[in-house]
Amino acid sequence: MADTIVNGKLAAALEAQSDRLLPCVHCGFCLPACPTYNRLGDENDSPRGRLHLMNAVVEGRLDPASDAFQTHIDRCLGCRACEPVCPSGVEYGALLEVARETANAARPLPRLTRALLTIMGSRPLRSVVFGGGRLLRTLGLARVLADRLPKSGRGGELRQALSMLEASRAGSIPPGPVAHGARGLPQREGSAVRVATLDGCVQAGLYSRVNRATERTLDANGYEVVSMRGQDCCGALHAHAGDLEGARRLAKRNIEAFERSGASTLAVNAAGCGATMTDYGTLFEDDAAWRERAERVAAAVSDVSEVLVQTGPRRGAMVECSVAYDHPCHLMHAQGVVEAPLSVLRAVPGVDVRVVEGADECCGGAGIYAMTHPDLGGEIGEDKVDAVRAQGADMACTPNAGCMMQIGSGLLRRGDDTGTVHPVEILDESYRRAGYYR
Amino acid sequence: MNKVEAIEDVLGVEALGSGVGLSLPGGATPEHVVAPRDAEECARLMRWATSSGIGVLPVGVGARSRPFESEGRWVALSTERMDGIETYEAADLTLTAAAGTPMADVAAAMRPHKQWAPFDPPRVGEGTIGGFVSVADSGPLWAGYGEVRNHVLGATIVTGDGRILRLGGRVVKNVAGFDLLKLVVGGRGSFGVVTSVCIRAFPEPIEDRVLVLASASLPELAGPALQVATAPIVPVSSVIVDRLPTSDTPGLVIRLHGSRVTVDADQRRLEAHLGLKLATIDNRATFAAEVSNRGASDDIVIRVSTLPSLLGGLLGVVDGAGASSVGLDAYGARGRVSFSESEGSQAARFLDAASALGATVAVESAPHTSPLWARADEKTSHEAELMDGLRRAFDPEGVLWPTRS
Amino acid sequence: MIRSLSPDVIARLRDIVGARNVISEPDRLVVYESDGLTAYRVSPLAVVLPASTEEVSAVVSLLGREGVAVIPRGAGTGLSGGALPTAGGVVVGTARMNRILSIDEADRLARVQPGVINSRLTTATEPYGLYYAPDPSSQSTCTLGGNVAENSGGPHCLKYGVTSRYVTGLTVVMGDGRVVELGGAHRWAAGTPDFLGLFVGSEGCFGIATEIEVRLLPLTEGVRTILGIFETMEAAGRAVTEIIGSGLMPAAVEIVDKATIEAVEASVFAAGYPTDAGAALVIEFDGTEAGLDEEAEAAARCCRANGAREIRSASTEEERVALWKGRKKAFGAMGRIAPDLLVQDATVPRTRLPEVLARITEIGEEYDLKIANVFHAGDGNLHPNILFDRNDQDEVDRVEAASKAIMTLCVQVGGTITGEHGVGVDKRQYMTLVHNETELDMLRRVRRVFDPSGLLNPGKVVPDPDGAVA
Ligand SMILES: Cc1cc2nc3c(=O)[nH]c(=O)nc-3n(C[C@H](O)[C@H](O)[C@H](O)COP(=O)(O)OP(=O)(O)OC[C@H]3O[C@@H](n4cnc5c(N)ncnc54)[C@H](O)[C@@H]3O)c2cc1C
Ligand code: SF4
Ligand code: SF4
Repeated sequence: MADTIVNGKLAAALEAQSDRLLPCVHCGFCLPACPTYNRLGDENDSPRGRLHLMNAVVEGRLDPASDAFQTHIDRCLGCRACEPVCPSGVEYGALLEVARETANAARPLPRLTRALLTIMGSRPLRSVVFGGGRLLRTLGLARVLADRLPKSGRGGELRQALSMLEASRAGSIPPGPVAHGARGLPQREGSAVRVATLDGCVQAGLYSRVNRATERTLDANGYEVVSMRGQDCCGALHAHAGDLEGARRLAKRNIEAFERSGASTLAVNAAGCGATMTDYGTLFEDDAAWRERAERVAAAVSDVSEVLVQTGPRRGAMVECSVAYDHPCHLMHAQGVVEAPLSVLRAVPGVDVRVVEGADECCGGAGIYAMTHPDLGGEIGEDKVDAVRAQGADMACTPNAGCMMQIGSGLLRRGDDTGTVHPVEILDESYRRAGYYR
Repeated sequence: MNKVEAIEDVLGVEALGSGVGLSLPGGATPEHVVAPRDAEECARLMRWATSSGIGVLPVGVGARSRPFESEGRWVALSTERMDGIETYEAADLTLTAAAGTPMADVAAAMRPHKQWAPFDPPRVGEGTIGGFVSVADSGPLWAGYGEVRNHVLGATIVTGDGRILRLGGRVVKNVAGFDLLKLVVGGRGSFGVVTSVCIRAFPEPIEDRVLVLASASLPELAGPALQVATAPIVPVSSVIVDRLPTSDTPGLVIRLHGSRVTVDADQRRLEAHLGLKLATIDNRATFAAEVSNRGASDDIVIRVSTLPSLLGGLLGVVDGAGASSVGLDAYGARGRVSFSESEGSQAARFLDAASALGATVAVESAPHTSPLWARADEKTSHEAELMDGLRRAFDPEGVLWPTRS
Repeated sequence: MIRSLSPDVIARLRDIVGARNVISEPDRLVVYESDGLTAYRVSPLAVVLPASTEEVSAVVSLLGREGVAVIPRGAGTGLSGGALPTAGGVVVGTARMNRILSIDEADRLARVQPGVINSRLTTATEPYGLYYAPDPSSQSTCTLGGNVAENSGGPHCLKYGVTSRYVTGLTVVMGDGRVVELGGAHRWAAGTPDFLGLFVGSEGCFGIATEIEVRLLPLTEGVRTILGIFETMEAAGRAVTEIIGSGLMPAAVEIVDKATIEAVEASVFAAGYPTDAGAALVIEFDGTEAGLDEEAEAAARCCRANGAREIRSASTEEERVALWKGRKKAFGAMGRIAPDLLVQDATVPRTRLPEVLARITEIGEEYDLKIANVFHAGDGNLHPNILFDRNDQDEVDRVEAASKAIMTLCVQVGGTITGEHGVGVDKRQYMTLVHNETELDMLRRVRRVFDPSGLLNPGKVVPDPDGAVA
């Protein structure tokens, strides 16, 4: 049996990764970092266990179509909390994507996941779906519908989707007057660093206010924001789901678009997108034609907070509020960015930043995880919501669209509609009050 | 065959010990005292005893006044002729000595190297190293240095059926397999006769400071004692006594070890934590020895232990108990209370009152005819079961301690 | 040997612990086939994850009645195969028993379930100004149950002592499912023999610890860490002997050798050790702030006197953490320089260190193997790490032979075959180097007292009387 599996093409992709698997010395240092292991206690749901399953597939001892491989690889959040704690530097994230590709080849993806990937991968479909979504959101129907739907089954998935939609509404940053006698910023002198920004799929669809804030705050900090025409979804959701081909297709568009833009930096305001794009090189490691171009773009990608921190960020006017800040996994674990977003927040006078307890643990959003695994994603989400609420802050704050929706929907379920904001939104408000945008 | 001849046959004439100065359990009168020279001889004796159905009572293992009666025939085993330090690796901080080596000799050997064994149970200098290990009473210094059981690195023992076991070794982490050494340390000779031990030596502290807080009454010390037990520094020992050698009043005696700078700083931190000044004692050696003997200086000695947070209640009970001597380790909330023979009924009342508080109590010594001995054992039923099973493993024929169940 | 569990037994196990907490499908048992020692692989019949003493007791007595062996498992970081399943056995894991039951500030005690991770206990007690002293290098992941079973040590155990010094009481489920209390901080007066000390280090063969009471210490006020860089391992070894002999009481004295330095510096935990050095010595003092500079300086003098080419000291907490990080994560970092790694563990009298280290180098050359040394030098506890590739059978054989040569060497100079990783399955074959048949028989007898049926972690620690070890 074993031979036929390996001889079959299915595990070939994973086998090609055996160099990445070998450094795992089975020390178990990654176990306590893993949200699924912490909750289930089953080593199949731990990083070491998942790597062991991958290894077993490579060794031909386990069928990639088996329930064990399918379930446990699928149940991974992809949060990559297991990476920084690994003394051997096992590149778990990269392996997971290949493992998922292998798993998908053995057994097709569930319908819901496929549908979501199709939508995110297509601009026209996205615009229809998000257009409808925005309408529901504006009319307040998302919430009404979500409340009526059953909690589990198909209805549960839709309910989760709707409540995430509802959660994407603007957060409760207190409005304030523009400072008396404020004047706009002086004209930039000389040549500025040219920054392109990623619009993203969900961000463009539901968080255009964050995208605008990103552009404005970059501009206010002396960058020249250039447009990146022809850009598309970054491909993160596809890569995480193991649709590496789909991810490459999207990545190529973005690589071309960035090259055309003439910018030297690509600022990303969603941690998930940033993590995938800084790994574009790996995505094309077997493609000589694209590899170098991908690596160049990857090197240019930075989280917007890092770009802002490089030059300041400039202080603005007082915005008195408190925020419960949560680290997105794909910023903290995948990109190693911890301080920059906090520095952005601290640049705003009057903001009381409270980092939530266990901020290094995933919120359970994990891209589309909250929708595909409402149970475990929900449990992890509930813990996060508890931690956020324990801070007693005015609102939650986290620099990733997926996490904003996950935490926001969790808050809504508790009847708490303080909302969730992105750090640049607060900076933006501070600049507006300071009159920098005049 | 006459037993004496038998022993002579087995071990040679000299094997019969003098028995002079032996502290036997209360009421015990052996037919003979046998004193083998080494583990081999000891093993031969044990095998002989096993095959001839004769009991062996190891002496000097911490059961000085425990009542002893045996229906069968038995001999006492003395370690007096297993005497002498075998190896002393000062650079490795280890010392190996035959079981009968006096603790005083051990201390004398270490002193020139500025090393010592940091244990201060009552009268530690008077016994042998074998007895010390069998009893494994650390004294209040355990707070700073750990317990005896943490510092016995190895031992050779002879089991009840005459098998020689070398347990542990001469390195700090010495266990390969199950840690049988732990049964020997503090086993009071129940599992075998200790013939040789290896203990860890410690560098002498550069500065040894003894500080005192005198008080009008024992209960008044509860507050400071708890403060010390929860202080940010752990003194190497802190002891509550009913009578300070210097002032005849109750007091708390605290010892600090380290470099001079460290000890100065520790004293300041401790005084700040307590909110008061402590007096420094100059004549440290005699003072410390007197303090460590408190609580164990009369006919009836009761061991008592609780938790530091409950020490206040215990001190209250001790205060009115009519004890003749009290020494309680404040960090471990444990120690001894003694009564004169004529105060047996007071001692009994103290046992009741302390138990009622949830403290653990046990009689350590008393006249062997005293009814208090009924309160000597505090084992739970599981512990008793384990004890039986383990004794059978080490001593299948029940040769050691022929009367003990 | 039992080849499979009947559906009825599985159903009853599910009733006890909940369906989701019984893993019995063969594909899902693959991940439990090894612990931190990957040289062996045996799949269990099932894995059961109970949540309480009662559940453990019910599971163990059910399995006992069925004659099924029980293998306790914590985080599976053990390096001697202690949690390696026995064919025909069921793993009882403590992953869900991860609650801290109480923290008693005044008495400085904590009571925890066995699945609590070592460093999480310290995190939880720090707000009270207290911490749990034993700090195995795996402390961020290993469990207190595993620590109790292995009597684990760690870098700071030089000054503070190993696990057994801190365990004051245990609740234990015995092989027949009975629940027994051992010890208790307040029970000194009882004068019971040290059953607790006997249980600690029993490698899962005497019972499953289901609640653990430990003593905590007050957080230390200050700490000084210095790093001595040496050209040769022998020079570093001599410096250690001198430091300890001088009466200084360092909290930790650790050595890493050249091969280890290279591995660490290439990993994500690079600590900035010079990669051309022969050995690096990490020395730490802790305690009252006031005396620390003096002590650190005295240790630095010992290093210089023994030829240290450079002394660094950590002046900030970050630098200190970085110095330690390289040492503590060294094991995982080795994974980068070779496909497989065997972590050996042995102790020798400290004064014999230089000589033993030189001999180990020779052994490495003799068998043409790369051996990287990391160890708790202060108490003479060596961890020679042997790097190899399991697909190279000849190399595997040489690893075996070199291990045996190292063990024999350590025993010859007065040491023993394990310092803190236990015997497990891996060291069983070496037990005869340190114990004769009489002693081994006594170990077996004592084990039977705790576990008459012999179903607890069989095949571990003590070789069978006929000499079979596998
Ligand atoms: C990188 C690395 C570094 C290490 N560093 C050190 C070190 O510095 N010092 C050190 O001492 N060890 C070290 N170890 C070894 C290992 O981490 C320890 O032995 C640890 O105590 C094992 O804990 P665990 O929870 O992983 O137990 P496991 O490996 O799961 O089990 C170990 C043993 O304990 C038994 N067991 C587990 N839980 C219980 C229980 N509740 N009751 C009874 N028996 C039980 C098992 O049956 C097994 O025999 C290291 C390991 C690694 C991988
Ligand atoms: S921490 Fe790294 S090396 Fe260790 S088990 Fe996890 S993935 Fe493997
Ligand atoms: S990515 Fe997250 S969920 Fe997945 S194995 Fe790593 S830590 Fe666990």
